[in-house]
Amino acid sequence: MPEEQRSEEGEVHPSFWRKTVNEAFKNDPLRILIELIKNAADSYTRLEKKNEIKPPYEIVVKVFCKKNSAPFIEIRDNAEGMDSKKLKEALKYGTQTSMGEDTEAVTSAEKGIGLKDAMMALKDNWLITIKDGVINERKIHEDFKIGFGKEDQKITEEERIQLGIPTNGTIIYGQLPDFFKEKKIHYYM
Amino acid sequence: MANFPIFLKKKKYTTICDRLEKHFLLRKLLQCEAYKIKVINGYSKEEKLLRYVPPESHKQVINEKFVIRYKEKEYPVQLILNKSKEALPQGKPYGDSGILFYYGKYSVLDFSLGRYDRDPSFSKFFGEAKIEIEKLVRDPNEVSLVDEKRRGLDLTHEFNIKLIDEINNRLKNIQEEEESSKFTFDESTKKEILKELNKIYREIKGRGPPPEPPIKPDFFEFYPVYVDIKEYEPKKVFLVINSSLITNKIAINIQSKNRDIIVKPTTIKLEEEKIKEGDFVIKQIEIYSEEAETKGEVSATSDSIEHSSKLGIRVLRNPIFTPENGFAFIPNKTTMVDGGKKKVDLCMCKEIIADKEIYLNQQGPINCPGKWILPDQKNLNEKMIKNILKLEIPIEVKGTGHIGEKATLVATYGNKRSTLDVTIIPEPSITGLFRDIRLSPKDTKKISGFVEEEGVLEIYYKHPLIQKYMKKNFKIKNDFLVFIADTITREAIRALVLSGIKESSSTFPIFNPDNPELEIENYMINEYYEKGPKMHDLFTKLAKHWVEETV
Repeated sequence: MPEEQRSEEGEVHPSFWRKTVNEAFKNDPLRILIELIKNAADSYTRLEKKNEIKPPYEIVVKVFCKKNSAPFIEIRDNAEGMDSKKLKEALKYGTQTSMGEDTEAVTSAEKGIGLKDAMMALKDNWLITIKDGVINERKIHEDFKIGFGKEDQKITEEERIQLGIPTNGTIIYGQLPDFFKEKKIHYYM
Repeated sequence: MANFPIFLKKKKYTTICDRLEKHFLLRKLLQCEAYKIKVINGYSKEEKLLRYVPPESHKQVINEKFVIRYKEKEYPVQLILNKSKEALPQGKPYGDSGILFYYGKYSVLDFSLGRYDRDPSFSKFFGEAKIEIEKLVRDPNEVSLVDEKRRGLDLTHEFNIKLIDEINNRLKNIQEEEESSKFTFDESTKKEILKELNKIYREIKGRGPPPEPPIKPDFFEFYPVYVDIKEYEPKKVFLVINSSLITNKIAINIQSKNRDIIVKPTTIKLEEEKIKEGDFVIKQIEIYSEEAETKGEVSATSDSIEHSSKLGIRVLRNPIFTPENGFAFIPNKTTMVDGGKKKVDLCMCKEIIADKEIYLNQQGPINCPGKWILPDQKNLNEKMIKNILKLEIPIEVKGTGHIGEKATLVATYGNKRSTLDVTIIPEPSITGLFRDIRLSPKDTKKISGFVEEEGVLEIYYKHPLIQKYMKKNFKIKNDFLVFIADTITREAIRALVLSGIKESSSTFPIFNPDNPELEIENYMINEYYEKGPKMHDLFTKLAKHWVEETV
């Protein structure tokens, strides 16, 4: 049996990434937004079931539209937030972290659709999350690599005001993809 | 940017808000009061709180809880189905017509109508199915209920197969109920055509024996032998004549012994060659009188035979000449056929006539004129009989579906008032071979059929050949009318020939009872050429009155 001398990270061709995103969101860019809204809602529901929060549960979607370009979106919630450990799991392919609105569920009825797919679909994406006074920033590249911003840094009051997250919460932003097939969209219109 | 969807190239912010509100995946979440989803235009700071408002329900069709048994466990499903007044956009992701499958508070699995998804006949139906599948979702060994490509429920999953079967069965029942009333023919046109059709059948089949006379006299006799008539109202009696006495031209003279009682005709002449042996001839005799409280006798005699028959008559007072308070409906109770029209008699004495107008007011399912203008003085006298003016007031039932209901018509003239009570009754049923023609949603290989036991000609409008024609404005298109008319004509002729053979009609003798098919076929072809054109006209008229019912 040969002896391994060195190892290299596997590369993923962008066309594979595009195909994955297309299939995941049925050629509908709004499904990305919907997925992220539902993730935020699920996070609130889990807190509600633990009696840690009371309504209203606010989810803010900001849309930045410019002529001749796909809109930038930003989704913010003030729900659970994630620490670096949970964040790592959430963004890793092959793990099941989506728990839907059911805190005890270990698998989702909508298995497969989740945060990582939605993040992957957004161009220039960033995820900023605050949990117990600690901020983490991550991004996912087209080749599935994870980019790091702030890592387990203590958040300042100024940053909280700037992000609009007074306690725990998450912000995800990025540009909606522009490669979905128009024909399929028309079918749904 | 070249491939970015058009709807996101223009009015992006409003389009995004609009589509998020309509997207089936967000519907339940947007209906939860606790969750506030706000969309902000990043540049203009315009804000919109997303909401989903379900279509307005005209009626709730299903509100039922059932269970799905899967791997020895039971999973409850609460199904609610509503019907709207208007057709709704169908299908995923933005349609309103469909069933939203979800669990928990807002987790949507699919939006579909099972096998009736995007079926136009279900475009008014919408609802939701709440499935209590949390245990199933928690099971790490369980396969996802949503299909791999995330199109919706995985229809190969055993749980989903059972669920969709339950839904389909319920929808099928609704479809049958809905579609049986979806298309009809105009009632009056249909009745007119059925009468014509039965007349054609009688003509083809040949006339049956003449009706049996109520009496079989040796010579001739009146029937009945005594009659009461009302003054100013003619009445008919019968003279039954035994044809065996007709040897040559025989005359029977009818004579009234009281000059105040008039009889018509006064002579009946019978010709031997027109009478079949053994037949009885029945002749109508009209009796009339304007003198109440008189009695009389009418006799029938013949110079050829030494025989006479007598009819006793009493003339009664006609109640129209004695209206209560000088102003009354006579009679003051009547019946009307559902959907029918009639004229009712309102009688008034000459001495009370002063104003020109009678006011009419109805209660219940009838229509009448609001007021009735009396004739001017000159015409008034001409219309008077024994100082009584008899007005014929037209009334009609408001549409159909009022059988057994009561209505009242009130007439007011100065300080006089009269009331007429009306009861709505069903129309006497049509008799004959063909008793109804209906449009049926049955799935069958035939385009048309005859239900012999019920006497009903059916047209199966879901047949692909009919559906092919049922496009926009189809009722005025010649190809549709000709196709429908010819289809029904052929089925009607088939029914008519088979029925004639069954009744041993002399028109359709079968010489080879072991193999009658060829003879039957020939009779059908002959009748198609003989009566087909007339039937074509009738059924073309019927097809033009194809009515698509709204809710």
